[in-house]
Amino acid sequence: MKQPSRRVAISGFHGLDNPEPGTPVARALRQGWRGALEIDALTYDPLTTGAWMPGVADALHIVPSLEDGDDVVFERIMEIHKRRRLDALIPCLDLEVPVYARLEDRLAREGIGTLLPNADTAYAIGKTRLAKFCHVHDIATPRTIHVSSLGDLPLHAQQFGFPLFIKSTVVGAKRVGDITRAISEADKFNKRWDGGVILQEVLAGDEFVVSAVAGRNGKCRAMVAMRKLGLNEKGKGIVGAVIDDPEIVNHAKEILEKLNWRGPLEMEFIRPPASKKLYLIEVNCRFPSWIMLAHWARCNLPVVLLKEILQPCATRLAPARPGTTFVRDIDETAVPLEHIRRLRRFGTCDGPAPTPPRRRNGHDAEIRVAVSGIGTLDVVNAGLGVARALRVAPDIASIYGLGYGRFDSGLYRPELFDRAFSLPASDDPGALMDRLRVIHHGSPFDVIIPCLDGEIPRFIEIRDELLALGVKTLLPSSEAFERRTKTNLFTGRLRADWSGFEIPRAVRVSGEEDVERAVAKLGFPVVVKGPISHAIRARDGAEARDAWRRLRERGEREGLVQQLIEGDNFAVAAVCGRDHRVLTSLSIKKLRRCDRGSTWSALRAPQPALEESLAAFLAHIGWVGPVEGEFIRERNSERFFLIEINPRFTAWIGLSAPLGLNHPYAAVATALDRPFEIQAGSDDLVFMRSCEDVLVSAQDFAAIAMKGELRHG
Amino acid sequence: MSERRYVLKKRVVLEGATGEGAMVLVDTHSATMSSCNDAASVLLQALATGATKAELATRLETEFSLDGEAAKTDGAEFLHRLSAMDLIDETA
Repeated sequence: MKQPSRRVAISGFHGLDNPEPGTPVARALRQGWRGALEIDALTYDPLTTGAWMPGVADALHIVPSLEDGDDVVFERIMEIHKRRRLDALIPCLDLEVPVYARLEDRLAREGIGTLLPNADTAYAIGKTRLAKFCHVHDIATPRTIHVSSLGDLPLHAQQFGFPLFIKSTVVGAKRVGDITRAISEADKFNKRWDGGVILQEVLAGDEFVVSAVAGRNGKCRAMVAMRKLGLNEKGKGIVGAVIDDPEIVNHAKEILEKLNWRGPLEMEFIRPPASKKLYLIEVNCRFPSWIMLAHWARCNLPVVLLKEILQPCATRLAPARPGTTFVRDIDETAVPLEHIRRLRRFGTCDGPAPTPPRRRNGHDAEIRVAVSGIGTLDVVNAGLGVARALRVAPDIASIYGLGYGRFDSGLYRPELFDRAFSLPASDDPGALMDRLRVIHHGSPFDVIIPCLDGEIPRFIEIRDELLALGVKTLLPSSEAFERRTKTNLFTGRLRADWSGFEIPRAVRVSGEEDVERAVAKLGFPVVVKGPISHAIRARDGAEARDAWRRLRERGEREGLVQQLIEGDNFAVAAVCGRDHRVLTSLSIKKLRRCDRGSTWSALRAPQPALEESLAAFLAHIGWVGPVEGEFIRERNSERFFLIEINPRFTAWIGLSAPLGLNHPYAAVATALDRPFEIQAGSDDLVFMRSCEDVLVSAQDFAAIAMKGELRHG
Repeated sequence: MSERRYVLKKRVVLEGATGEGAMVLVDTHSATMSSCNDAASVLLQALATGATKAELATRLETEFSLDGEAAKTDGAEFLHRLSAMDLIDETA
């Protein structure tokens, strides 16, 4: 009998580098649901990057803020339902769950199924009340206290001792080592989410997370437990594997029974090595962002949930396959601006169609390119966008990915890289050259494009040896590389006024006293910058000194203090030839950035005067190769100020290909002294990036770890 | 007295045991993964169904042309490591 077509509405498609679960829930349903299925994405923001990824959502709808009240939310769902006949609704954001739980009966009467916990149950395990729940039910949990008034924070923090976690009442947590940082982070969280903050003791140990679906009768229908194998700077699990530890599974099931839960949830645990006890850190009333792992482990929890909503049955799933492993990567797309405008104007639009698989280039393609910078651990490296652009260039036969760590996600992307190799984590150019020689011997390549700031000087040093090997590069001189460092840019060695932009002054600092002198001179607010990376805003003297201390903790011995310039963020990507002339350039306006400053959404915004001035600047410093200038257009004067010159491709450079400019190909062609053409492409495209988890086999990890090489296909 | 047999615990999975490419030992309780060289792969496949120390030594002698004493020592050391990682059971 033919299964009826089903339509499910899902929320939570945003989140940038801290992704919301809606996108992976949608992907898991796409992969695992048997029968016709349509997915409608519910979003609060037209630039909700995950929903625009091809093949994720069939339709997008703007929904009102939860603050507008349950009735307004319900009316909007009914509007959508009248046109789209929804069968089910799966909310994926913490704050939505109690709202939709209250609306459950009303939605059910209209034919929209949900499976959500009782509102009182969800309330009982909220972040501010979890400690009490654990105490009542004798569940081990770290020492935790909810501080509703920030005036009480210093007293409680001192009683806890440091380090400790400052957590918001909704989402976000920071580990802090002193009272100044504790107050600063608490203030930020409270301003964003209200309700005070939560203090929690820091426990060291292995971190485990469990996701489960409980049926209408409160019984566990399926469960997947995962151990976090790799954490980024924010403490988020970006590599994880399914485990089958009976102690963890049984403990999670006991908690689930005590909760008398319905629907999806996630439980986070930590197990300190000394005690071997499992401590419950947090319970979230929705699926986690790593939920695609459940599909790969043959225990697709979103499918279980949807089945439980639509047609509950007693079928038991096989346990999740242990050892199934994921690495967090990214997906990128270019969305026609008109689609976003349509969503903004009408509140609804069709979702982007899936991208057809790209055929490999034919026999005429001959160029082999090696690309480094292929990870996403803390920031998205540019090599991934470079590979995306090269993949659509007809002359490119093969692309080899070069990674420094086995968690560099690009190593495991056969659609981007034909082969992947590991590079030595060493500052020695000789070690780098030796390794490249070995790689080239087994897998010859014609051009190499380094994409990490820190490695460019090593590549500059070995470029002649690479050339002797037959490998071309397009790199600046070491003098030009130095001229664009922050220390040289902002301390008066270059003129300030470049017509299309200005270079703001900064004060060099190498201690707290320097920082105090700098802020006395500049006023507030300021930005305290490391010489290579990291920029921390400071609104007063305490924050400025704290910012300096944070840079010191990262190993910096000197920095810069600069007046904060407020306005819209722009960037100009360019490729310079060996005569230092700009061959092609591309300006964008950044629409969404994560708190590390990476661009997650951007619009092409031609700035002829700015591009011309940047070209003059690059010729002046003698630049060769790819480069990015980052600017802020000051809010009042509308004057552009240069913030940084990145000495390599930018991470959003994949956008250049659909625009017809293909900067990475231009760089490859120029390195080989070949001409290249600017193709006609669409101008009105919006760059969007979203997190995407990638399945990695144990053998692929082993191949990189033991042989340093992985051949795809 | 029959020689003791050693067998991998149920929570151990050998990925890639039947195909090309490196074998990987996965502890399914902790998701710890260990890449295996050729010798380890041979020994682990034997331990998947159970083997004595003598049988392990014989495997090493046969597959890698080791002399008897070296094979015994290597086999015993490998068992010792697995035991330290709590990955094998000992049966009479």
